[in-house]
Amino acid sequence: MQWADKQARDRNASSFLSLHEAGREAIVAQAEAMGTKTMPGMFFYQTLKDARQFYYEHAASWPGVGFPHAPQPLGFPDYAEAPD
Amino acid sequence: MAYALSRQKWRVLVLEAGPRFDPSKDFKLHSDAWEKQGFPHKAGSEGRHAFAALQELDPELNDLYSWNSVDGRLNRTPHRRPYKYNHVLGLGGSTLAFTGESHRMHPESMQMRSRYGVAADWPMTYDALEPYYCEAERLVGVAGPSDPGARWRSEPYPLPAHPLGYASRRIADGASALGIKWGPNARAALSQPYDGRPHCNYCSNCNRGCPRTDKGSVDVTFLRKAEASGHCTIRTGITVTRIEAGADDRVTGVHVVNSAGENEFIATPKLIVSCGAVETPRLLLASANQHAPNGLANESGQVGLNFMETLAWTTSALHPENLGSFRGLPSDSISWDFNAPDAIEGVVGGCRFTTGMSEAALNGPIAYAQRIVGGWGRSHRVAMREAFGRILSVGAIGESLPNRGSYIDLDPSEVDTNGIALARIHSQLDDADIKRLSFMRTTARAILEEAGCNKVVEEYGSYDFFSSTHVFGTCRMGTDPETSVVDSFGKSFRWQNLHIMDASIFPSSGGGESPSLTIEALGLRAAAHMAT
Repeated sequence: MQWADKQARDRNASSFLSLHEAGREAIVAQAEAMGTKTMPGMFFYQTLKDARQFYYEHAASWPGVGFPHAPQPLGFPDYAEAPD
Repeated sequence: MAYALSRQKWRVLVLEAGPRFDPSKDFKLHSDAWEKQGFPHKAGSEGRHAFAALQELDPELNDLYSWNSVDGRLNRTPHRRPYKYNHVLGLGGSTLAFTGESHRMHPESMQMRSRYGVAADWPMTYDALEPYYCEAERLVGVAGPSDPGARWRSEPYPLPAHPLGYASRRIADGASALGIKWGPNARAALSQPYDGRPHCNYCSNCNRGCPRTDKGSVDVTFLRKAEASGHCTIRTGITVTRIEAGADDRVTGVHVVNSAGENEFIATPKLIVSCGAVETPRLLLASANQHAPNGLANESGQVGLNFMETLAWTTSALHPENLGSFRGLPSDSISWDFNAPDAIEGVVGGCRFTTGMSEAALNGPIAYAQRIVGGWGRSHRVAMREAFGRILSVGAIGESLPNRGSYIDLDPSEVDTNGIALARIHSQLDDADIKRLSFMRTTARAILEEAGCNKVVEEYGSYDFFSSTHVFGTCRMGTDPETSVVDSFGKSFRWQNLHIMDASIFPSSGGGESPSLTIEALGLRAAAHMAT
């Protein structure tokens, strides 16, 4: 976060969290572009991996991708038909 | 064998190293965490084993490297890497996590030495095994097609085949366009209620454990009936550390560590070892004594040799239509066109192709996000919405033949918690394996292309990773005590009351057939012989 805050200050903001969404995304993209051999890049990729897992292990995220429900107890008895 | 012998009123004691699973409680496919947890291992259900260094990879074989859309190449080292020997310690063993394909061997695959000069012949014919295949299918409740193909049948499958899924029909269409016959697979998943168990509801997750018990794992079929006979006792959490053998060519019992951590000796008039092709040779080799200095039942020197693994390939691609491909019965359809030992041009040993989305674990949002879609933020969410449910996968498993570089021995340095040396897996792919893999990859890609897929997103195979579920051959059966470990009924040639019954006794692997039904048929046949 120190690195991210420094990038924010270079953009004349007080901290990373004080930036608007586009500004925060620009710094995140900067970390991504640095690759896994740098500390910001390593942090980015590990955090992204964790975030994907945490996000999609919650049922609240499933409607957003078209996954209807956990596999049981209902199963998918409509499996031979075109999806809704 | 516990089922067949207890039915004949033999007193049977089953010693299981792992725990007993309660399907309705332990297999949590109803929970939000279903995808993250994979197969829900319990304490004591994961064994340990070691790997010897695996072979160097050939950069020229770039096409056979495993990769996915998010991470790129998955093995960036110059060597083949061990991923996993997929083995479950628990009552029911690896059938708890198996897909449940119920295959009979191709008759010609049982005569690899006499017909093709490789591996070894089975000491019985398909015809001798056929009645026991039928019995096993009835006990499990196998649902299969009416067309027997190359495997003649004396009776139909007990249950009708499952209708193909919507996504699978796209793959069938793709195969058909190439002139490849594609049809229903024989499955240990109930297409109708049967024997007190409900029918499958197509949740697509056999490999994470079936909470409904419609999947015919050994715990809910053979062992359930064995316990109900009143003649079979099951003890779980019992690790056999050594088989005790005397001077009179008979074993006397087993040394175990029980669930309380105490040492016990359990005497038995007859011992059947069924630990699989990695752990069975380990136990025999670890049981060396003054009467058997090279390991028990190892008079031929063959214990641990002839190791055969799962030679596998899966290609996954995106289809432009939303297919809802996370639904359905895993491996519901199959092509046997290339399964005969001479079916692949230029190489001995066949293979088979199946639908493979579930086995590739591409049936949930986490897998899509981590392996296929990638990215982050709003664009990631849009891409996930566009991709989810559109993946088609074609999986293939091919013949694995014995070679000098593939065997199991005792690791010289690593031991388990009881001080017993771990099994060490040596695996080597030879040129024929690589040709088969190459054929599997090319054909899988062609099928998906004809199915209408427009982008390959992941490929995973045995070239750069050892990842095996089906393992064979390390205590091969035969007719000659000089070259095999047990006879056709699994009995040691020397040790008169020692039997082996698992896929370690297979003289050849078959052209991708899943082995569980054949193990069951061999066990029923051996038990019938033993009882007479």
